[in-house]
Amino acid sequence: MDAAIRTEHLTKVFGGVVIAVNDLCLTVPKGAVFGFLGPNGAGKTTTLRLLLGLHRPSAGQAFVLGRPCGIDAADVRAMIGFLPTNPKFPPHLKPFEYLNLVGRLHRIPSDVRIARISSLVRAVGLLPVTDQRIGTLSTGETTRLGIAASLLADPPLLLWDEPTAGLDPAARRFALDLIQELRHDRTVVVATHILADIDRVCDHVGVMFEGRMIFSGTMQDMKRRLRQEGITLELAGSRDALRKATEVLPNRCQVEHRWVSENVLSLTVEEGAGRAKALADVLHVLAEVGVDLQSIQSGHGDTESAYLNLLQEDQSHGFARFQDSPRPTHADRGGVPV
Amino acid sequence: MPIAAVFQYEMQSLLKSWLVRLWLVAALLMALIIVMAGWAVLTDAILISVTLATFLVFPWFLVIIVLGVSASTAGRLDSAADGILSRPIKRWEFLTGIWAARVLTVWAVSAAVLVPAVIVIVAGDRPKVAETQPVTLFGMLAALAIILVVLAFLVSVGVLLGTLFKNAWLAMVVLLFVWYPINAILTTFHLAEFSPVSLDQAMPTILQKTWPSRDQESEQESAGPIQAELQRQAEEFIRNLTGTSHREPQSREPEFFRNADRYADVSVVKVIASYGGLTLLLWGATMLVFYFRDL
Repeated sequence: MDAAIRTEHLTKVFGGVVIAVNDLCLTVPKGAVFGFLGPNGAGKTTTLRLLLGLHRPSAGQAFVLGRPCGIDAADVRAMIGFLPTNPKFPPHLKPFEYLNLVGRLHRIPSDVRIARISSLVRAVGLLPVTDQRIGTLSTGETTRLGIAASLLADPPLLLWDEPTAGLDPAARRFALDLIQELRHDRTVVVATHILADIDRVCDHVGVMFEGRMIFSGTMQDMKRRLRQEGITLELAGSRDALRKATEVLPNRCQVEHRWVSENVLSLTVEEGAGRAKALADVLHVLAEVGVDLQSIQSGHGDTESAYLNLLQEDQSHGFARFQDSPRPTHADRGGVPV
Repeated sequence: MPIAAVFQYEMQSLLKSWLVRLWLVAALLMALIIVMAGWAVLTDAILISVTLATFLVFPWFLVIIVLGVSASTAGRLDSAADGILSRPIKRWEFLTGIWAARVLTVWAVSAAVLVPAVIVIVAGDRPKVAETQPVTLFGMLAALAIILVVLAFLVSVGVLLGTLFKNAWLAMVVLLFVWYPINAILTTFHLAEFSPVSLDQAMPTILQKTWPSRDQESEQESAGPIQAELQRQAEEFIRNLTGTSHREPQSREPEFFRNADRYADVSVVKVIASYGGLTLLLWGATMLVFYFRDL
């Protein structure tokens, strides 16, 4: 599998005291929409900045599309469209002027650049504010400008750091819809702590905690880690019908059930059973006993539960976490046997 | 192309900044006042030198340093990191573009003030003032070259300090604590070429210089044994430290330029080479500091 991003024991220690990224080994496959998940201060932004060469790694190395990242790796940055969190762009410039500057930095010829900027400004909905200075734009408009800047050179890799932070619902929806459109022909990395965003757009996910990657895999892998795969049904029916459903369900369906309230039933699919078949059986039983279905919720809280489980598991491992770290070899110590 | 893009962006920012606009207006106003005040009483060379002193010594020296310091302070680099340095540009390209724009802005403002002032002083119909020697074309060109290279040096000092300390105020305080003692030490050692104060005192002499002939050059080359001069300077430095200096206290205006004759042997080439070399050295040091900095 080709990797869009690969890091090998990447470590960043600020001022020799603050460990921001801790021995990070990460692989992001090409063409993935990778959700970079973690609580505030987990090291997501620092990792992205290490990839961009804005920070110098304390140890380890990183590669983007096979090329090594570094302070002067302008060739790597040319392949990346970066959207910073709460972007700070030159406040005295107007959107078109700023995009023109970015285009020139990407060495895009003038005729192509101007046409592309014009279409991008329109696509991200910045036409009404083209005569305003960036310093006067709202958070949403500045983010849209950042999105336009990240797409200007049509890079194969997008690094978007908290693209929905501080956005109103319409702007948030715009950003997420755009990710789904862009996923077809490039790799997108979305760093966020908003689980709903990850759930909606990502097919791969990496969970970072205290500077370490504690999980990396597909969304399905992550959800499979849940010990209980819950489905919540909101029902309508007589007391008798509901009681009868309670009696029949254990015998005919591969699920465990629990009444959350008088008419809300929580189901847990048994180990090894297919979710689709189990759910079909349950619905069949409910129809038989005369219970109507008001609503069904499945998977909405899965990512959250899986995420929280991962954090708890990582904390419970304690010192065992150290065992995974690289050990120095004789060669590292100058060949002196110990 | 990235350097040109950053240079153009920075020029745009500087020309729109209130600091540069106010500086230009204030510098023009001050030059006007100086020229008017000395119109009937000072010689061409002295009047030009007084006008130049506002850039070399005080107060525009401080504005020039501030312009340099603000190039790479932490707050400014935040927006540069998000908006520019995360794009395909190398750090040396970014810093060179920023530095060049600041130097050019300082040159442009200085030229906008000094060129008209010098033209008015030299070509104006002024009352006759006793003049030992007239200002020469070579002298004016030499003074211009010196001014340009010294201003570039001052900007470079500011950029280095801004990069080193991140905080603009801290950089300014450090500069004031470092710059003035250095001036005193340079003056003690008679390294006039390295001190803007002494340089400005030498300006009347430089402005009256004629094109150098071969005889003058060879005369300068064979002047005085270096060893004796170094010993003399060391002795004077020790006398200064122990408070037994026999030098008379230097007086400021109107006597500021009275002893300009002692700079008769000042070498324009040496001054330009010294400041040029130091500027390149500072530029290199700034690159080094910036290269190892996390953004």
